[in-house]
Parts: sequence; structure tokens; C-alpha cells
Amino acid sequence: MHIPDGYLSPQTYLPAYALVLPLLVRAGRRLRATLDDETLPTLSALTGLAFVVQMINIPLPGGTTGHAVGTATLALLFGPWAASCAMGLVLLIQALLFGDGGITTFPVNTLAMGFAAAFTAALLDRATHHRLPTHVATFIAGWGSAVVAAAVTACALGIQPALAHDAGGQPLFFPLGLAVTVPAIVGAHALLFGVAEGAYTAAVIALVRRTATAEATGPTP
Amino acid sequence: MKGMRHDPAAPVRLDDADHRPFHPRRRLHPLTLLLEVALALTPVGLLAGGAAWGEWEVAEFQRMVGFVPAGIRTAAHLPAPLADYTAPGVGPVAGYLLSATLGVALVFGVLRLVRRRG
Repeated sequence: MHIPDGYLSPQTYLPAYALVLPLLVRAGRRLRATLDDETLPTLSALTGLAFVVQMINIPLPGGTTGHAVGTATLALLFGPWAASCAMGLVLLIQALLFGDGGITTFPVNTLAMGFAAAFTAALLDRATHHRLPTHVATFIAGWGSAVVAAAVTACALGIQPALAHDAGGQPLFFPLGLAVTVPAIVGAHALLFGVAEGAYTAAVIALVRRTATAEATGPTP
Repeated sequence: MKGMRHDPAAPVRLDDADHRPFHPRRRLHPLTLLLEVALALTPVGLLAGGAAWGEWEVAEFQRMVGFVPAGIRTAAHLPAPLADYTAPGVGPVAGYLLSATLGVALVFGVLRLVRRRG
């Protein structure tokens, strides 16, 4: 889901920057308000984990790969705004240091894997956590966050042929339309990578909650 | 990684319920362990060779759609010091581990700075 430089037209990334910068300012304020001595270690560990799990590529038959993202864990524990800013930081480090993603595509990648994923996870959890067992609700939140992030990415790529082409009709940027990108990217995330994201989210949230409960009730003998 | 486990300046609080000393270090421990295990496992990700769908090399577009779009062919790429999670002079596994460690260290460092300024 990390769109590289050159794939998106200026008609896409300039408005995306205009949208994402004020959102990141707000998210940054919320992150700073969230960060204190109590939350810093857990928030840092979950953000570091997000960076690391994105390096663990999962193969998909057909030769492509994908990975979990880690946004939902942050969104469920620290809220969607703080989570979005933390993911923006991860994406910035990936783009600048490792050439993963890009500078022009940073806003779209942040809108997809940051804001869209974080708010989807938070909304799904809010809608389901009273009705479903915790691990089911957190799994759905993680799965949904990956699927919606994939949908944003697929749309951003898929609208490129219609947005920018030369006189002969040849696309200048990503050449495949929505009819190809949506099934390929959203399908893969609904069936595989989203399931990995859901399992990761449910497992990590359970670990954090169990640890917090153990601390509150004292050491177990 | 040791220095990142907890902030030495973090206050040691008393648990209201039974006045047992509360150590922030212990609360993080399982998550830190998970982070370290996941970090050590990152080279497993190298086994899956292909790129993510759509994130192809330039030549792949030629093969798939018969041409390389002009914007993709001429895109400016900032020189990334550790491009594709590789490091100069070391093999792919060491480069991947080094990249993961550096990325995690940067995340911890920046978030700590954000906290201190607040």
C-alpha cells in the first residue's frame, strides 16, 4: 500500500497535501496531548511494532506480497488522531530513509494507512465492542482498517488513467483503472492481509490489556 | 534497545488499591519483548520475494501494460540512504535488521522529543 513517487499525478497529490497537512497538525496536537510518562513507552512500542510488522512481507500466490500495518492497535488504545500522527511519522521515516513510499505520495499514503485506517478501526470498535467478545471486535477493527486503507489506495491509483494522459490517451501515471486496482488491492486485503492485520490487532490488544490488568491487581504468584 | 525500555525519569507511583509500588518498566515488558522478537524476525519478510501489488519496478510496467508511463519513467526519487532496507557493505539480512533497528530507534527518539516539548 506504499505508493511510490511517480505513480500519482500532481492533480492528486497537491490536493492530498492540502488535505493532509491540516489534519496532521491537528493529529500532532492530539498526539502530544496523549504522550506523557505513562503512555510514552506503550505508544512508542506500538509505533515501533507498526514499523517492524510492515517489513514482514507475506507472500500472496501470484508473486505479490503484502503486510500488516499496525494502525488499528494504536487507534484502539490511543484514539484515531494520535494513531494517525504516529503512522505519519512511520511513513515519513520509510519514505525519507528507506525509499519505501514517496515524497509526492506521502499524503495519500498517510490518508490511507494513517487516517482512514485509524478512524475505521475506532468506529468499528465503537460499534461492536459492546455486542461482541473483545477479541472478535478487535479482530474486525483491524481487518476493516486494512480493507478501508486498501480501498483508499486502490482509488488513488485507479483514478490516475482518467486524470492524466497524453494526447494519444496513454496514461502519464499509474496506468491501470479502478476496475483492476479495486479487486486486486481490496480483494487481497479482505482475504489475506486484512486477516493478518485483524489477528495482529486482536493479539496485541489482548496482550496490552492482560498486562495492564496484571499490573493493576499485583504480581501473580 | 535497552535505553528505550522506559523513561528513567518516569515517576514510580503507588497503586491506590494496596499501595504496592508500581513500576512502569514492568508494565511495558511483554510489549517490548514482542517488539524485539518481531524485530529479530523481520528477515523472514525477505523470503517473500515479490513486490506489493502495484509497487513494481519500472520494467514490470513494460511487461504488464506494454509501456512505461511517462510520469513513472521520469519520476524524481530522493536518494534514500538505506534504499529498500539495504545497507551498504552488508548482506540483505544484516541490512534488513539494521534498517528495522534504526527505524524503531527513530520512532522512539522522535516520540520522546514530542513528549518533552509538550
